[in-house]
This record gives sequence, C-alpha cells and structure tokens, in this order.
Amino acid sequence: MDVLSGKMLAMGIAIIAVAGPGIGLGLAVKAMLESVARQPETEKRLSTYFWAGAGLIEACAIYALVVALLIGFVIK
Amino acid sequence: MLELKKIEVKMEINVGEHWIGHIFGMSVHMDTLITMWITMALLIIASFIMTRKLSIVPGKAQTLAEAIMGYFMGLTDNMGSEGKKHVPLLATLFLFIVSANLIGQLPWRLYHIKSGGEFASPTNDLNMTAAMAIIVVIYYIGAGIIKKGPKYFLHYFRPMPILAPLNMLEDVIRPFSLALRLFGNILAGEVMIMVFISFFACLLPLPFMLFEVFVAFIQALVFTLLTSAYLTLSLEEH
Repeated sequence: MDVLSGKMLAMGIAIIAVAGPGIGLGLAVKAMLESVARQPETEKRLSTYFWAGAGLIEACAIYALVVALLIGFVIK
Repeated sequence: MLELKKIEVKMEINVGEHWIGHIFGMSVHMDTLITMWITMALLIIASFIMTRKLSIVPGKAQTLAEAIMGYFMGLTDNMGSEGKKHVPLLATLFLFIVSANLIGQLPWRLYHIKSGGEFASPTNDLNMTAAMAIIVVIYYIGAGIIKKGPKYFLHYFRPMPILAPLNMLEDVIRPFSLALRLFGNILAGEVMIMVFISFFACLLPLPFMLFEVFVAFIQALVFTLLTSAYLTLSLEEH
C-alpha cells in the first residue's frame, strides 16, 4: 500500500469520530427544546448556556477534522 | 469543425502553506501577519470614529459602543469588586476574533502571492490562535497570583488534594483546546468553501459563507466566555 492510499484510508477513518459530537449536540438541543417548551420565559438565559455548550461540543468534532486534514495535507 | 479547447483548471487546496518571511532573523508567516495588521487597523480606526464626540446624550455610534461595552462589563460581575479591570482583555479578545474571522470572507484570492500561501483570516493559522490562548493562560494565572499572592497555588488542591495532578494538567489542556477550537473551526470553514469553489464557483459557496459569518460570532463568543469563566474560577474566594 503506497503512501497516497494509506493517507486516504486514514483520512476516511479519522472522520468517523464526528459521530460522537453529533449525538452530543442532539442531546443538547433536545434538552434546550424541552426546557423552553416547559418555561418559555427562561429562553434568553438558557440560550447563552446553550450556545456556549454547543461551541464546546463542536470543538471535539473539530479536533477529529483537524487530525484528518493533518494526515491528508501536511504529512508528506 | 469545432474544436473544443480543453481548459484545464488546477485548483490547489492550500492547507498549511504560508508565505514565509524573515524578520529579525526569525521566520514568520507574512500572510497571517499582514491580515492581522489590517484587522488591527480596522478595529483601531472604528474605535476612533465611534468615540470622537462623546456627550452625555449619546449619538448613534456612541450608543452602539456603550451597548457593546455594557455586555462585557456584565461578564465581569462575578469577578469580585475589582472585576472591571479585566474588561479590556475580554472586549479585545471578542472584537479582534470576530473581525479576524470575518475578514477571511473578503475576496482576498484576487491577489496571488508568488511565494506560496494566500491571504485569509489570521485565525486560520495555528500560531495566531495559540498565541492568544497562551496570553489567556498567563493572564488568568497572573491575575490569580496578583490578587491572592502565593495562596493562589492552594486552589490546585481544592476539591480534594488527590485531584492536584488533574488540576495542574488542566492548565496545560485549556490553552490547547482554546487554540485548536478556534483554528479548527475557521480552517475547516475555509477548506469547505475552497472545495465548493472547485466544484462550481458561481453561487454554490454562498450558503457556506453565510454559515461562516455565523460561526465567526459563535467562536468569538465561546472564546470570550471561556476566558471569563477561567478568570472567574481563578479569582474566586471561598
């Protein structure tokens, strides 16, 4: 297996890790929707926590993407 | 007989390649530096224009500036009685990161740099985001030491002494995650837009560029909120 095929295979495997934060964000949005549906007056306070939390969860997906890009474009 | 001339367009996705310049014997990424200076110039000029004629009854620009500053002063409410002196750091981080992320959406590709690399957001360079993250770490440790003296180091043993290695490790992990989060988000957005440009450059990248505007604000907000959370944690009294 030459370097190019190895790199492509590695990039493909590395991006599977994005499934985890996907589920995590789904849970966060679920909690947000249920809370706002129960008490609409807390929406403004909760939305700050929601966006901050979503940014943090999304970072984990971005780590996987950074590793994939590193394998593909930076390793010679 | 019509002969279709085959036009070959080679699109290179430029990830991690920068225009390397030399200043004072160090090699630097000149393209990142130049866009960073342009961002700084924009911010300084905007702040001059907004604060030129300050009056008790504010005009439109002053109202906007006061609203922006009011938000950051609200963030420092939990930092004790002298929290207001940390507002400049938070405000600078947020405004600079927002402007830096958004500047990458301008049509920089019209100018072709001969020695490799291209102009884009300064935050798509890991060196830039790592520098900001290191500044944040040094700042919150320094602020804790200035406020509490050597007793600051007791906070590593706080919930339980056995957690001390974990707390010390967290001081290393926080700058890593701050830097990688911002870098990864902005670089991933740019790579995605470049991939779509290589498919069909006319209108296809537009929804992704709008999404990038949104991501610019969210990432700046996350960076600033995390910095203020770390500051609050390091300044808190028991």
